[in-house]
Amino acid sequence: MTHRQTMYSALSKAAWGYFFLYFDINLGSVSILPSFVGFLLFLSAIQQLKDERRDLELLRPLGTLLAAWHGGNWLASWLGTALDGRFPILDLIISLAGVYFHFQMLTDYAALAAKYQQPEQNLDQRLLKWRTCQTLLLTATSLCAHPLRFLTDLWEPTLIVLALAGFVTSLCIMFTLFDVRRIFRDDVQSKEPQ
Amino acid sequence: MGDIWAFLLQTCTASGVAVLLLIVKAMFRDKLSPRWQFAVWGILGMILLLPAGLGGRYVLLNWPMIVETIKTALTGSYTLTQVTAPIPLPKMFAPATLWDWLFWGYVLGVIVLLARYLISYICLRRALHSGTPADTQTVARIQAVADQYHLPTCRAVLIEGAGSAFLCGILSPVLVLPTGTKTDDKVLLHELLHRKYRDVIWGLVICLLRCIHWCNPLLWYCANQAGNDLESLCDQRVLERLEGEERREYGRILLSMANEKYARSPGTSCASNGGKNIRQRIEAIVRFKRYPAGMALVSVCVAVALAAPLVFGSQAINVYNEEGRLSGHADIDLSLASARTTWCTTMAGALDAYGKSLLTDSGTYRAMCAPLSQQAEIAHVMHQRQDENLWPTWDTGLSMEADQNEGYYIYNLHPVGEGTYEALVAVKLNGAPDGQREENKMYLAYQQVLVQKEESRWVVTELGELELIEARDASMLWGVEELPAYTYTGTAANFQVKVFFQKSLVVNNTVQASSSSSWFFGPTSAFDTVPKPGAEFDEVYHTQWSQCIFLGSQEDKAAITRLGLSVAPMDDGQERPALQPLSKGSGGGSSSSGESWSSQTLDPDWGPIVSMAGGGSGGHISTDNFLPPDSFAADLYINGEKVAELTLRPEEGGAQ
Repeated sequence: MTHRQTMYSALSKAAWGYFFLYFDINLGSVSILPSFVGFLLFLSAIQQLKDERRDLELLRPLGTLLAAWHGGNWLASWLGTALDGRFPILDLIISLAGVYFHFQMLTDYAALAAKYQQPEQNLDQRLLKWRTCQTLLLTATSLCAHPLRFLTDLWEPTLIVLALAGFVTSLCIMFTLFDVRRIFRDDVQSKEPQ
Repeated sequence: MGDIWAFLLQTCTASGVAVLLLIVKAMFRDKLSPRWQFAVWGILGMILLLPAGLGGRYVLLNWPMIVETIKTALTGSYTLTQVTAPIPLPKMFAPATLWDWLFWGYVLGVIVLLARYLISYICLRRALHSGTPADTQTVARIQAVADQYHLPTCRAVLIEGAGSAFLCGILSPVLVLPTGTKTDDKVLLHELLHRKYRDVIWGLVICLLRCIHWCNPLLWYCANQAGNDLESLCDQRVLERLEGEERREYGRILLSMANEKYARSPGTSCASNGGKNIRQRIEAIVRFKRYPAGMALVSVCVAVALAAPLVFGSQAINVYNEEGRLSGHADIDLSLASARTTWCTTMAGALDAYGKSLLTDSGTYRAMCAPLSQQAEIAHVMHQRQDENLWPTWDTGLSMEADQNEGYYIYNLHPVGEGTYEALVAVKLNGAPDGQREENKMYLAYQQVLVQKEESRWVVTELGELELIEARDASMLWGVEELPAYTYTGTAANFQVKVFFQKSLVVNNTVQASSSSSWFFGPTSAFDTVPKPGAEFDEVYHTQWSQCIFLGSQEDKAAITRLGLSVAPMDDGQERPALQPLSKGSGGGSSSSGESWSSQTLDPDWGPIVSMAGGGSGGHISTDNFLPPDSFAADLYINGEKVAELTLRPEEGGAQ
């Protein structure tokens, strides 16, 4: 696989990872678009891009933890139950890992976009903007899920609004990643790496 | 912390947070900056300074319940441990029990350690006084380093035997340098950075917390880690100001200090802090990078998401109710510990728990809303029943089971003092107490109770025995005529007019029944028998009915063929409301404002008591005014003519 093909494949996986993460279609209580597949795609993308961005390799342990948690949750759904809320301490650790994982991964993808995009493109800035949005949304969601639920009755509607905002943000991230991917399509001219 | 249990609660709560912080810090060790690594210790600092269990909350694990259970198992006490302050505040009395002695031992440990730190600091300051002021060449070097990096400088002293340079003092810090060796400029930079950021203060805070939790090795480990993170943060600041080879040189200098001994003293900071710590700092230096400004966002977000649930804690919502996790009395004691620590935070919550304890005979539910003085008695009854191989319930005094699907009812809640209320709690029984159930009858048990706040807990005290009554079978929501009611009376035209008033308050306890649902009718609802300690009243219902009692002679009575009454509630100072005029025909009605009216043709042999129609209104609560009306305005009609305008005043003694 050529360098361009590797980059193209990795960015495809990253974009589709967000699709699995935020789109949910259920058969009964079991999701047919499980979140853990999204994290497995992220891990695969990290593996392919580790030589491009050394910092991405640091995300592997967190990605594995998140994939395992979401995988466990998916298996639990087969039994008609869920892991969410059962282990509050683990929930908290997972939410912290999630905030950092997405932030750093998108930061690294933005750095890749900055390196390879055409001068007139601003894909890196777009990615950074959505990264910031998503980091704030994930933090707010974590606050809603933990302390706010004990302080106000409004936590539930707030959580729904945040989920909707998160969904829109993930769509924007996905489309931006697809745009970054286009840089590495064989019929598109990209600038040479510095 | 007034006893050993309060200390145990405080130190266990902090230990739980410490373990989580160590895990999270390990997770982000190579990802987030040394600034973040040190700053998150602030969360532990906050937990150590906030009284554990404040407002009935716990952090990560339900430590209050765990500590209460241990306390009961070891001492047989059913009191409630509460931390009033994060520092030991011993009560001045001679220790009477082993636990008092242990607490005094702990306090002594705090004092000894504080004294030790204080003495070591005083010795150090005396050594500084006897030290030699730095020579002009050294002072010039310090000034040059300070000027180069725009740092404040301070007085420097040379002391023989000092292992390496360190900063001492908070208000007027002194830079202490070893004699005989030239201290490297980078080490001077390190110490001047400590001076700039006043890191010595953090060292002092860590020392004080060490003293308070001297017998908790986990917190000592965390204090060591926090101290080392402070040094790593200072290293990061140094490295941010150095370039290329200078950074490697700084690492080599640190490495050369690895074998130096160091003495921990409050109010000091030292670049050399022991071989093991220096090894960790060298590892951090190897990972050094300038963290981009964007990293501040994720650092803050992760810290906030971590701190918020720890600082705000969690409120126990569900109580552990004899679920068989422990054997023997221990399970009952665990349930009662859970009940004591899951206290009712609202008046409605306390009445809800009490009502449900009547419905389910649960001693755990009763303990949730019982005064602390009753806790031991409840436990005693439950233990006794278990010893007799009976289900360890609370003895409600009911001879038969209450109808759990019907729920409980709260009537006539009214204030009787500052923060003190009286109410009547009623439950419907599953049958007649004597087994002879009559058609169109229901059987009720009711009890007058006092609701009041006991420190932060709302508690319910029984004011009498449970009374059993037979009543007409109807919805209890709209009042029960056979139960006590407020009575308002007035007399005119040979009639004594009485209006009876009841107010019922409802906590929404409707849940969807999981076991019974029909494909046609859908899911059915049931009454939730699990207490809601923070409940609020959702609905209020007012009901009133009236009587006219004839007081005149037989001759006067014979002349009366029709009787009518129109009434409406009225508060003192309020203008008399315009009442519904009555027509000549029979009939009646009521309005949502509490007005009711009725007119009826009397039988030839009508008795002295004539029941007049009543009315009621209700719905979602919009006020916290639980008082009944001050009076009722009434218009009395005889034979179709209004004969009197009355003001009905309440009878003494409240609802009867």
